Amino acid sequence: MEPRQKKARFFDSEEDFGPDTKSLIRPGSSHKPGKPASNSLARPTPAPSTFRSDLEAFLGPLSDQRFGLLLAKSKGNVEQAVNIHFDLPEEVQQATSEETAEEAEVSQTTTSGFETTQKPSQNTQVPSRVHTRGGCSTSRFIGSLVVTAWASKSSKGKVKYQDRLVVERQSHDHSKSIRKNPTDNSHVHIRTVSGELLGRISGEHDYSIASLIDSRVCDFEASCVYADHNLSLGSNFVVELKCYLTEEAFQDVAMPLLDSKTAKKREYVFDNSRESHVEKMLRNRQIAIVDLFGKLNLIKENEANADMVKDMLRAKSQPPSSQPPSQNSEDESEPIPTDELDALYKRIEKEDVEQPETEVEGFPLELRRYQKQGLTWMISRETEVSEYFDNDDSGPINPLWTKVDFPGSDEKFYVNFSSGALTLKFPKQERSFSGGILADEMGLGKTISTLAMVYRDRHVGCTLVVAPMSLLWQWEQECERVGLSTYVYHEKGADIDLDELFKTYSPNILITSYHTLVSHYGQIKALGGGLDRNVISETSSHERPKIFTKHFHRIVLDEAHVIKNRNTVSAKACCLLRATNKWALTGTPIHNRLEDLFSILKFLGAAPWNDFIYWRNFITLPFQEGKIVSALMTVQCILEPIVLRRTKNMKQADGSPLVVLPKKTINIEKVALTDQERVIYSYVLARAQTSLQKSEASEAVGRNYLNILTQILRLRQSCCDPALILRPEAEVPTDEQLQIEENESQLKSMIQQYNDDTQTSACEYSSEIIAQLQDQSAPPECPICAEDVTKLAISKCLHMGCVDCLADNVRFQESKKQTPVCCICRQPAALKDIFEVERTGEDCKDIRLKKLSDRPRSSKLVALVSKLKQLPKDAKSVVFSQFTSYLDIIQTELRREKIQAFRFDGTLSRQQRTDVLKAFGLSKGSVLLISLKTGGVGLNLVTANHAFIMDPWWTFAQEAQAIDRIHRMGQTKDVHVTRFIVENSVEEKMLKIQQQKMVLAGTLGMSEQEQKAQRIENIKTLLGE
Amino acid sequence: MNALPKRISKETERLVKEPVPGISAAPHDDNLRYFDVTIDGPTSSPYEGGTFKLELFLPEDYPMVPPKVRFLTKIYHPNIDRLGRICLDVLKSNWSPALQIRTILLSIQALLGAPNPDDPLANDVAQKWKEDEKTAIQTARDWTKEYAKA
Repeated sequence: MEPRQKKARFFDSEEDFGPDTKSLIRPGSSHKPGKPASNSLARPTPAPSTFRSDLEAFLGPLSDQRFGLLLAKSKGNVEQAVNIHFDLPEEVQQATSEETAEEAEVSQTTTSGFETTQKPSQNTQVPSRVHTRGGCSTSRFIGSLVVTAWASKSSKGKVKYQDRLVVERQSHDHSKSIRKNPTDNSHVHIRTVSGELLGRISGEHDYSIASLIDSRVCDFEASCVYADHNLSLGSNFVVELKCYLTEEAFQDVAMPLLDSKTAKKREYVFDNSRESHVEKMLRNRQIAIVDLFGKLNLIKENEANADMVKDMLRAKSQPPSSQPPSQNSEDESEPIPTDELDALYKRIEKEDVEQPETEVEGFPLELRRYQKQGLTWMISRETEVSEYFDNDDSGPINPLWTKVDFPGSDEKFYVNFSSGALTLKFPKQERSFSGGILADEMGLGKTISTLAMVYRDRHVGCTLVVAPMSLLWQWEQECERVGLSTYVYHEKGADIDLDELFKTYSPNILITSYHTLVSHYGQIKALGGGLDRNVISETSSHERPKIFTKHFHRIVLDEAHVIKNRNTVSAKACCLLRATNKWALTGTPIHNRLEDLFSILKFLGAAPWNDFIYWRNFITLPFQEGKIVSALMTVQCILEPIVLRRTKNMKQADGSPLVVLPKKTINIEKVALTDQERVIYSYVLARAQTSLQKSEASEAVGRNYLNILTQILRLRQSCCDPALILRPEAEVPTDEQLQIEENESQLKSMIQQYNDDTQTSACEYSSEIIAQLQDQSAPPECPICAEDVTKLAISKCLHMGCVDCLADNVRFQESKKQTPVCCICRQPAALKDIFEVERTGEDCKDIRLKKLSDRPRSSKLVALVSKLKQLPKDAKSVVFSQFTSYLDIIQTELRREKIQAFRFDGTLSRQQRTDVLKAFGLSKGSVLLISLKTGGVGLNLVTANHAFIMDPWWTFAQEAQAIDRIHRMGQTKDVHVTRFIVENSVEEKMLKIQQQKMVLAGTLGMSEQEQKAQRIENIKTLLGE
Repeated sequence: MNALPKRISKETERLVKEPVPGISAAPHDDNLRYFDVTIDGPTSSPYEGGTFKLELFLPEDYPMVPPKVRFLTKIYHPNIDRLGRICLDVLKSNWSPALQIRTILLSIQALLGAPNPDDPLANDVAQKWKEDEKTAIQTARDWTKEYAKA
């Protein structure tokens, strides 16, 4: 209290210098007696609302005038008031002083806006008392506020309970004073009706009340609630303020709606703390409105975005100085906790299954019911707004606006707490773009829905489909299936002139890849066009790639989460494309950061959210401040009208599921390591444990995190195949790059030993062989595969061929229970007698013989092969592993087993991918080897119905993604999934962690410290016994 | 069906490019593992002047396992039975992946020039060959004339 007193006194003295001059300056004020001129003057008698409601409970509805009298007589005592009411039924009005009567008339005038039924006649009686602004007849009461005022001078008996008071600003020349000292000019003075200064509203409230008066949003009626008879300087008295919204408050002119442009400007200035006068006014108004509405408690709990608004109230009611510390890097926003994200997805799912269905004439594929319903929605998103929201009050409310009821009335008005704007008209969510996000869960046929939409208006114009490289072929094929003409604008296909293409061919669908867009975008930059769209449009048309200048009828981004990072070139390139309708297809519009969505909204042009500054202020910042729920609510409001999301689990109106997929069974196949493998595993484990203990002892687990992760990686690899550890070229997950250190020699030799057949003795023929080989220069043709030998091998009988061929020959004969013989001379042969020839040194003169042994197959591989062999003859399978080098080993092994295997990984070109998928699609009884990372997205492999997951990933979600490649729409057979897990190993523990992740409530509210602790805990679990 | 191994296409190519005199082999268009084969009877053998049709099929495991070969033209030969099956060691136990279609067909051609009644497949023919070689050779000539004329 002490500091405020001090400050107050300072201003008080200043005030005392010239109360008269100030009253003169006050515009529109005429302080002549009996003529209440200012808007703040002459309002009905105040009363604490509880008193009134209590009283009305006894006496029924009371006029303000009557009530005021009762209040005055009874001094707030209900019992007394009731008695007075019955004692003085008629005389009451007469009994009051002349002033009061006059005052009462005024009150009727000013309050007629909401109590016209009670006092209809009074209006016409006192036309002269209508405010000069002419707005009073439409001023709307919105609630009353009790504030403390501070006496700025001593007075005796000047004010008593229930006395009417005048509220006024210290100075109306605020424009001048703001510039000088903006924060100080916030005093609101209280005067008696006769104009004598009593004091001013104390600090807590004056700021917003001053702003509201300045911006003419509110009129206030003041009355005394409590005051000591002897008011001494600095003592407090209590004033009730009745708040009325003026007509002006609802005018757009006073507060133009923020469009993205002004918002941008505004925020820039805001950030630089250099606001223009008008901007300052507007912001003050906004803060004041938020403050006032918060204090009046006008936001109803059941309002859809009540939480969000309340958060905003809390945030915005803080003075600007206490704005959150500016975030330096916008990209550092935390990932959304998965559980929250799931909940968000859940909420935007469209349960409304009663939408009408749309049929597409001539479309060759049978659409499912929900697809037809989805089509209705998609078409509606492409047609005019008016067709969709014909009714004024229907449709979603603009998320920035909140509905508020006028107290005691059915009427309502709307507040935009973010701009401080008020309106009586329903602020409908304006559609700023045509299109939307189709976010149906994977496998619900987003592609088919899209094609149906394209098919419907295929003659209108060309649709551009942008898809990841691996899916181009799939799109092409699907288009072909439904009879849409296509052109693949990619690689060589992108070399043509688009204008020429459309002159001669004019395909329904132009298919391109993100990759192509990126490279074309690069050309723009190279031309010096810069990144700005405006600049680009200024470059002459032949200079920029046609893909960016052509105006398409529609653009569809497949797997739109590709552009989730708005700073990537692909995102920028996509935003540059031009079309009437824009669509984003993705099962996960938000991967793990809210900004993921922003990039898509930017592509769609979903104003105002495509402006990052806007986005940042309403979503990123609240989210970073921990108002996760409110940020997500805002996102939900944005998404609701523009997203269609259905999941496999949703039911149709008749209760049947949307999609009936064949049964899916997931088995965990426990694999036991062989003794040899166990030795290596234990060795790696022991080393990992030692290094963990060392780190723990020195309290440096965090710092050695990477090292320990590497050790764990090796453990996981040794579960698959010990040979993986020694492959330096092995593609290992990022950050876990393997380095073979000097002291690894023991491990190396152990694995070497594992790889070698220990029974092979030193070769006694080696000198002879070497002599033979030295004569041999050009690589001979292999007698078995008839190809040039790449890996030359020689047998004891000095016959040569490919390593694999010679070995295969021996193995084959062994498998037929025959005695293996050399294919040339028919002398007995054995694997141990076959040597791989390594030529090293200059001119390849140094020849070394490597013993070839039948490398033992790892336990998992044995398990896989035996599983594959049990399958029906033409059953197709997919095999996933995260280690591509492991896929190499599997591939070799399957070749040995004469199991046809295809390979799909990140190293393939688009053409190769297409070829592989085609060949796999057409083949029978084959296996497709896929790296978990490459094959996780989009691929449709429903021709296979068996999946084998060789190694577990940290989260099951990744594996589930992989499984969904074969368990999706179009799958007709039951799906069998086998997950190979090595017994008593790190893999079992990974399973446990996977389960924990699914069970735990989530990481919501976990501090970074706690998350770190959790990670270390996980490591201990992994390496524990 | 697996993709065609490189070896098979290479062999096929070579059979066309460098044909063996008196032998032709051409794969079917719809099954590249199935060959139509003709072998001319060796000179100064009872089969001289005849052109014998055979079928040859390369099994899945070829070249680990031998091709399957059978005469389609009726032939009077102690090592070839009425169904055209051939008794030849390299087609059975003595197969080696180093052998090829070409070498196998040469072996069959050689077998026509040197019937081996001691290791018979058609017992009645072998019997006749041993008892009355002249008549047997004449029958072989007659059959060649009757069935193996182009």
